[in-house]
Amino acid sequence: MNSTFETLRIVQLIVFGGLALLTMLRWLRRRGRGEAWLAGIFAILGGIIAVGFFIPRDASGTLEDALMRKALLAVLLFFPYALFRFADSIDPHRGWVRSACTGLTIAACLVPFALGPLPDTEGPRTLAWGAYVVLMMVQWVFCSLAAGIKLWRRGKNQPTVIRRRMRSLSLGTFGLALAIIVSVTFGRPGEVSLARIVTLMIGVLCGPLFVLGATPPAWVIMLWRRPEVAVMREAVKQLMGAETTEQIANSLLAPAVRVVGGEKGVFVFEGNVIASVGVEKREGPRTLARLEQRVAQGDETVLWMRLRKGALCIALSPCAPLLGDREEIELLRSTAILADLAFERVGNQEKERAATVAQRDFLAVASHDLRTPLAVIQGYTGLMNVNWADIPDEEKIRFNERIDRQARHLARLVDDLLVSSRLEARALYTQPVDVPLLPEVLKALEVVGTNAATVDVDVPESIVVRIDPEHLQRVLVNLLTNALEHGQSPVEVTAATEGMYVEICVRDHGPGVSPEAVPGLFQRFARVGSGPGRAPGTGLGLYIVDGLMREVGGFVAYETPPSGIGARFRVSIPVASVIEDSPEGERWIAV
Amino acid sequence: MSGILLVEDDPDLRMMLRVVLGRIPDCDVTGEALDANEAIEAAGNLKPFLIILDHSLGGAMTGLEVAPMLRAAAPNAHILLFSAYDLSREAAAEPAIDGFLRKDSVQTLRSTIEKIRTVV
Repeated sequence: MNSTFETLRIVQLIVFGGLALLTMLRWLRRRGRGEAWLAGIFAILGGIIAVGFFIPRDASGTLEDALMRKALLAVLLFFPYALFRFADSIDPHRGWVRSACTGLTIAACLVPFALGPLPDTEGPRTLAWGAYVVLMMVQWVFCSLAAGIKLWRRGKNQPTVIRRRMRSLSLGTFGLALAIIVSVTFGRPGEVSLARIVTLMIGVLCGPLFVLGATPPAWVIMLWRRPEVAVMREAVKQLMGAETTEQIANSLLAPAVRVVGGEKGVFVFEGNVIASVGVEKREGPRTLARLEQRVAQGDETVLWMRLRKGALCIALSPCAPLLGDREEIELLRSTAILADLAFERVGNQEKERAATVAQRDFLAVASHDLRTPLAVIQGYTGLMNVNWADIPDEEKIRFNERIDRQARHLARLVDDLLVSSRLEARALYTQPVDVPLLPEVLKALEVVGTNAATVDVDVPESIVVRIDPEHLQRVLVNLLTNALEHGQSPVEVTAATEGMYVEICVRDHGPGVSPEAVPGLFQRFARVGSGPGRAPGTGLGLYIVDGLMREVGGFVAYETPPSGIGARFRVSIPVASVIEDSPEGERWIAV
Repeated sequence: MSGILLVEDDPDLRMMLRVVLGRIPDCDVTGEALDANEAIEAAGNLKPFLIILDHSLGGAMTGLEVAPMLRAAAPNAHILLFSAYDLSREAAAEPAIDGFLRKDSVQTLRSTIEKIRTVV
């Protein structure tokens, strides 16, 4: 029995000494808070077992020897207390449990120093020392149970690796408490009894459990992580089939929260919370604000993973920073990259859909606007074909005038549609030359059926711009048509050189553009108002002005005049000399 | 019950229709309206036998939307929807509308009116 006992002592020394070394090596490698806790805890246990193994079992009777043994006993009793504090740091115990553990530990550490000399291990114990042994057992068992139960319970719903680590630590803790109970209850001082062998055997068996809990080997972690890998694989499948940004966010967020042991999480996309787990979606922005605040304060229980588009924000459980493995986060990160690809795919699909809708709108508007003047032309020509002889000459002239007006309107529409299509396809032909501005303005007035007598023109003769004259005409005609059709007189055209640009302003004194219509004013088919009651026109005029200005390196802007009356469009065209001197001039011009 | 009510906001088109209809027997234009409200009021007052109704009216309502109200105002009037959009299917699905004519087929206006008269 003695040899079995001695063998078990050696095995125990190897197991717990090894455990202390492994936990310390893990801490040196990772430097995490959880690793530091576990290295400290198992260094205490391994150290005490090593010292206990090498110091003589018989007390020498000297004062130093007695003090050393009592100090070692106090350090040993710190093992269950340290485990308790570790569990407490994950999830605080109730106040009375904490007080009881702390009180029992202080008492169990200090009492030996008050009791006088240690009893001889071969001899009988005094009553006081007998009572102390019971106190020691109560401290150990109470702290161990408090720690073990907490670790076991808190492991629920955690990622598999964290859960199994917590439960291994918990089982080991229960095992050592059982060993102490067996030793105190059935052991006799000085005897190598069956109880002491059983105690040692339980202790030895607890070793592997602590190894799994504190420093699980990589292959064990891989085995344990299989469910999370399966979850991520499923998430990838969902991501591949997702058709909207919300679907992508939902496909990723729920598995992500599960894999990293999160309690709640939100997915942020373009500043908005588009998916949430563990919180109501409408509570998402508030949750996000709180989580952002925690991140700013350096809270390591918040995972903030930024993707190329959007970000994941997950509130981790308190176990994750202590017992979680960075591998889980890396696993999540690799899946999140696929989410970025999915966002890109969905973005492209949305662009294609928008292009299809734009194309459909274009066809609808184009067909409507082309058919209306056509109807007038067909109506009059049909009438005259059948009733030519019956129609008086003056009516024929009136009909002809209307046909002519509608034909010109039709020609302008066709022209606008062609130019806008070329602008859209970036296939516009331009031939910029130096153009004196005033003659072009007067020509544009003539085209829109008015002249300088009805429109106030203040354009210095000296201004010359570098632009394709055809495009300048189109810009001026479109702006003047808008001012005359949608605004009210007086209409003003002014021009001045401002730095590197010539600024041409066309202003009317009508109702102006409503503030809500301004942002979309230069979009294709933009018309003030909506539905059948919207303003007349193709909605292409300002789109064309904007597009042509971009082509020459200029720009157009809408302004409300300081008086608040009317609409003012300001066109800025680079002056001729700027284009000629610019090294990039060729690129600007050669469209 | 007599005459035709023209509901069209484009003045050139309205004028053309008036001229063309003037050459068709029993198709005098007795009223014109530019939007839905004017149309409902005119239909109630004039009780025309035919309302030529543009779809894209000025105002908030479309021709398709205003048709049931016109039918209520003038129950015996035939309603011909007139639009540059291809709305033949929508017009067929609206019980208040008796016929549809696309604007670029205005040369068939006479035969369309005769068909409506015969069928309805």
